[in-house]
Amino acid sequence: MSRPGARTLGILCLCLALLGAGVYATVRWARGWEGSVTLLANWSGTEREQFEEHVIEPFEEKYRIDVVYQGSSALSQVLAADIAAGNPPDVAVLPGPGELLAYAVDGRLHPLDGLFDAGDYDRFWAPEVTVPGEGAHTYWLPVKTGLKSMVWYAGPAPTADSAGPPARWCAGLESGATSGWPGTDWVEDILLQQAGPRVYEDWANGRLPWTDDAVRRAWTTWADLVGAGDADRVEQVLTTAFDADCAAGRLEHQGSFRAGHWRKEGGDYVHFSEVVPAAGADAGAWEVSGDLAAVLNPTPEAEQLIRYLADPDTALPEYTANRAAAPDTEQDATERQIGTILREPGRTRCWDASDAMPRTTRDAFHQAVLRHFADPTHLHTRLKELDHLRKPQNLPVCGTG
Amino acid sequence: MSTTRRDLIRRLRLLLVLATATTLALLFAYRGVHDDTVPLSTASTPGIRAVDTARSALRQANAVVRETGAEGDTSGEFLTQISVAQQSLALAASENVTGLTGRHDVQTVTGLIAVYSGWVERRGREPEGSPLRAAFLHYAEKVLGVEAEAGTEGDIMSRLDALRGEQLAEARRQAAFPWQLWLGWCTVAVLYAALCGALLESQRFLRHRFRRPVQLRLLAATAVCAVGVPVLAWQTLSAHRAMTDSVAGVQVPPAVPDAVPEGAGEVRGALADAGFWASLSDLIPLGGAVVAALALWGLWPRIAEYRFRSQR
Repeated sequence: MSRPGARTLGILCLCLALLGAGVYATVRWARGWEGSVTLLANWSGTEREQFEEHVIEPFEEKYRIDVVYQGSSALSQVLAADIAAGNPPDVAVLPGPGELLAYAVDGRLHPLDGLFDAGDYDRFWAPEVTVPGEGAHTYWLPVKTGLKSMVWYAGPAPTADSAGPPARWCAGLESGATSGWPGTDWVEDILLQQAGPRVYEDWANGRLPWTDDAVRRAWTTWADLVGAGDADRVEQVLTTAFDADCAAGRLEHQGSFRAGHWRKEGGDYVHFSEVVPAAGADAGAWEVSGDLAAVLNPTPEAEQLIRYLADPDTALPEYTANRAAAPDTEQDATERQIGTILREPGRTRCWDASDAMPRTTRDAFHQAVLRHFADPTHLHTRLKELDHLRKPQNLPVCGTG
Repeated sequence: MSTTRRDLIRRLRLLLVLATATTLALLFAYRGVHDDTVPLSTASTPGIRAVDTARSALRQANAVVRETGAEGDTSGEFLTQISVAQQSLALAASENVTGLTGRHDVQTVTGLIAVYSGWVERRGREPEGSPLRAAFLHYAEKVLGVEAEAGTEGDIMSRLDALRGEQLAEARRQAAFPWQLWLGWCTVAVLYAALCGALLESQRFLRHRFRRPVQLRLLAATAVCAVGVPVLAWQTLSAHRAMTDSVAGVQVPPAVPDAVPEGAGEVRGALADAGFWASLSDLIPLGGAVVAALALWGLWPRIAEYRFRSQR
């Protein structure tokens, strides 16, 4: 039998190469994208890049689901417009449960029951919310959490006696569209440390009047601490950004997002209850914040994304509330400690109250702190105005899981 | 034995193949340019101009606020400029140049304009001397982003810059002449030359073999080719030049508000007949069919004639 010639072999090789290319192309085509999911959140800049790199891209690679990320600094307005137009994103990530609760009551959110193990989270992070006519369901999942009730310093740890005059405190109330929120954090935290979690929860849920003595005392304490009404101080603090540099030797009442800045200054933090005047017997609870994911369009892709976000192996940005997640080995000691406080059972954690309030109350609260800081002599008027907006609700604001 | 019939059939086949190939290549190359002229002139550049108008209106609105003290009533002119900005953004959204991302950017900017207006209105309600007047203006301008650094995403101007960048990238893509189009037009040139050559050679062959000075049908086919393809090529060149000029005209945001309508008029003028010339692409297959039919009509009677001669 004669052997095939070189030309025949060449043609055969070419055919095989073409067949191989065809098979490869077919497999690639068959394994193409299997749907998409739109995700609305307010992360931008580095925060967005990190989320896309560590969360979205691995998800897309693993499940072949395209994530259409929409980052908006006017999150409330965009979401309201989308919902009003009947075109909501599949998944929205909102800061805090107040606005989500309103959407859940309106029937805009879809339950997440069965998509993740709620036991991996402290109940107040992902609570069962009772919606009239719908029963009790879980409507949101924490994606990213932050710790508050912190006083950052460099040097000797401050106490209530050593904290010093208002000028020692770094304070900035400017935050663009949401200017005023740093002031609400102060008032909330003072109330939490002076009056305790129970009073705090009643107030955040609209069951305690704004004109209550405990609330009034929190406002006056804040005014005294930061020098409200002092003309020079007022002008400077009102127009200073919340994340402006704060020199070593000064104090800063800010959340865990400032860890990087104070690490460079060689600083540390103490619990706010150690610094606040007239801390109560129940002082020591931690105020926390969190970005919560909710499903507005229950597509299989949206549900898959929720499962992925709840997976303990998913590398969520700082800090996860998932107790089943392994510790992040890249974090320093301070960051690990913050992560532990956010997850560890037995600690009392309370939502940033303004994030738990209805949107209109939250926005009015922002305005009220700005006005109170400029002129603290009209506190009663401010509190009466806020009390007019009070709407009782039933949200788990504090938890000791 | 005569080879004329075989020669005629060979020429007819060649002409049909070349006519078909030239038509298809011309259709691809022509549409490659003209399919983008209408979106560029009716959506992309108006979308960019709409964003420029919104930016300009917002700057003017802010200037009105800055120039007026607590006593002056800024509401009329301020609200007019805000309205101009909102309507321009509605136009930019309706052009849908950059798809879902662009629509979402417009939504975010619209939401931020509401926040900006809110701060300005609060400032207007504060009495002269109140520290909140300066603070509220500061917040409004932070939201507006008049002095924002490039790359930030949280303010109106940065968002509009990003949206404009996306729209401009789309306009550049539409006005581009990538290698595929170069290849397409080179193919057209080669096939066109071959087709014209084949038509002339066939004409010469018929004159030599049948002693007739000219075959009118083949001459008509040659005329259709000789005129049609260069006209379409020339028009494509003009359209591409106009597209490039239009994109160059919107490359940089106008420095003064009056430049926005002037620039829009120039773009409209440059691409005024874009729709007509784009619609001609539908006639290219018809033109190719006419050339093929004329070639067939011109040669087939002679072939038929030789059928009988070769059977003798």
